[in-house]
Amino acid sequence: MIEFVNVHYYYKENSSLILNNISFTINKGEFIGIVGRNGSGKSTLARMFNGILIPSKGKVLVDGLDTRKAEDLIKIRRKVGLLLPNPDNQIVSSVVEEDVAFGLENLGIKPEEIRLQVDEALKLVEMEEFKKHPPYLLSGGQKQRVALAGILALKPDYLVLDEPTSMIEPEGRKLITGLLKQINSELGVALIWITHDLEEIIEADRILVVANGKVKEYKKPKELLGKADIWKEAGIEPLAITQFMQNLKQYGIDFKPEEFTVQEMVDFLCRLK
Amino acid sequence: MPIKIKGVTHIYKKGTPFEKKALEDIFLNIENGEILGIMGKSGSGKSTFLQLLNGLLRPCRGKIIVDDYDITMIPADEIAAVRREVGLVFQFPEEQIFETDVYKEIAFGPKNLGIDEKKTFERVKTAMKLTGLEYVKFKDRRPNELSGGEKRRVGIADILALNPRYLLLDEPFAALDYEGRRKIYQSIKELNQTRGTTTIIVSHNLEYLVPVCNRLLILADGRVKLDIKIDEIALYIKEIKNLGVSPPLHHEVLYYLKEKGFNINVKVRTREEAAREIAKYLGTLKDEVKSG
Ligand SMILES: Nc1ncnc2c1ncn2[C@@H]1O[C@H](COP(=O)(O)OP(=O)(O)OP(=O)(O)O)[C@@H](O)[C@H]1O
Ligand SMILES: Nc1ncnc2c1ncn2[C@@H]1O[C@H](COP(=O)(O)OP(=O)(O)OP(=O)(O)O)[C@@H](O)[C@H]1O
Ligand SMILES: [Mg+2]
Ligand SMILES: [Mg+2]
Repeated sequence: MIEFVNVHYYYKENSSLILNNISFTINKGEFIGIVGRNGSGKSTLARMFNGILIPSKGKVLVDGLDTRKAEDLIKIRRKVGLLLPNPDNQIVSSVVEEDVAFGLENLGIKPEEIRLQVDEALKLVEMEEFKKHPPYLLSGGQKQRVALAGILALKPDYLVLDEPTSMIEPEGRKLITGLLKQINSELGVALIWITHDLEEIIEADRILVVANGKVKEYKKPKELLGKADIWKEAGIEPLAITQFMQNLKQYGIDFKPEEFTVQEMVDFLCRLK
Repeated sequence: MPIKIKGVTHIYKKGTPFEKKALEDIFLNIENGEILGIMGKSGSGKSTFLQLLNGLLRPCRGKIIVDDYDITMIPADEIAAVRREVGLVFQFPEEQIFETDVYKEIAFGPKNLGIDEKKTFERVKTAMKLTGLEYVKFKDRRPNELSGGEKRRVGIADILALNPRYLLLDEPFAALDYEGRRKIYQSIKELNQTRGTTTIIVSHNLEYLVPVCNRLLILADGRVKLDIKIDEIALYIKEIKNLGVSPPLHHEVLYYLKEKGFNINVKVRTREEAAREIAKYLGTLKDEVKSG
């Protein structure tokens, strides 16, 4: 379990509070989405999960370990993997496979075991053909995949993902979201997923909405879906299907407020013919 | 004057183990005033394409003609002139931001062009407005202490302050919230209408391109695999899907309805237009709207 307890944060003494008395908990194996406008404090929050940033007031506990205590930090970093939004800030080595191995080496794992895990992680993100490549020669989306492989290889209990697929095309995104959800459901790895795209977290257990330094909502996606004002405050575009249903309504085609897939919508419209 | 691309091939690191043919035999005309969207998988050559257009990279083969000049032939010391006409916003803003505060960062370009302080000030203010950055709040901030979306906006403002005639945007919507995206749509359209700025936008999400683009290219393996008008998307759903791109939901719905025998106009761009066509067909449009 991860607990944020009355967390306050400012970057500089006397400057304004970025996070203002935030409290919430995340259970093992949960899938949590985090949304909020640009500058609302999501990445600040993300960096508190593994103690890169320490609360100015309040505390963050990971399975009871306290990010303020130096002796707890090493254990915390093994439990919590953090994927940064810009892969260039994550990638440290000059060869892709070495980069993916980097974290594992720090954990003192045997070389042959490392090789296996690196290959597996690169395969998962479909980057095995670039194993021997220098990362700086990769495209943006390719780098994003390598950075993710580096975190996956560590097999953390909690995976904090700060806009993990912001530059990956739909098919690659499906692959990666599928992969993460599988890790979540099969291995029980908790996902803490920051995004500006509601589609990515629509299957989350709960969505945490950050606004004005506070937790505005922390509920099941279903409980939030109809609340246009919440999404507006979170800087989130409503789902394409929601918007399209509204457009159709404007022109006299009435839907019951149901959940629809594309096919269901097509079938529904065919019945009106 | 349009941009003409004639038989362009780009190979990285030729003759090394990392040799990569990023683009192959591209022929393309981009008309003035066009807003062109480009999609394609990771590694399909999108960023390479943009970098060739503003002279940051030189192709191994072929010509790129901008305003009647073949920019592949321009000597290195004159390429700066191309870069201010063809402004490129990088995929990662960190790659282009280096000044110590936001004002200096955005003012750097205009100052460099020899523009006086007063006019530079105006340009910075306009560029910040166009990207939704509040002037007073952000002008003194350190760029490397901004949030991801704030940095993205500074990266875009940097280039807008150059008043380029061609605007190239590499994943401008990544990291932006919905409000930010709409602000950028609005600004692209405004610049396009008032100054005729030709714009090329790379994005991984087709839903993000539809509200603003009038033409769509899909790249795969360094080649142009699809080149259509935005309102033709519903006619090419199969091809688009085969290229690994998810079509916008409303276009997909139109496509399936047509397949199921709806005799309906599918040449539309926005969701609203799609809804209107469906309503017209189903007869739920009010009379006064229908006649319009
Ligand atoms: N290193 C820093 N020093 C000072 N202020 C900072 C620093 N990093 C971020 N900020 C400010 O703190 C606020 C929250 O930033 P944060 O990066 O957490 O936002 P975010 O929710 O991740 O936004 P985005 O959606 O744009 O990524 C912003 O106003 C930002 O300008
Ligand atoms: N400097 C370089 N040296 C060698 N290969 C490179 C270099 N830059 C890019 N590449 C390779 O060229 C191909 C095209 O890269 P490019 O950056 O144009 O892709 P992209 O379409 O922009 O991808 P993304 O959507 O991931 O940003 C990729 O396979 C990439 O690995
Ligand atoms: Mg952020
Ligand atoms: Mg790219």
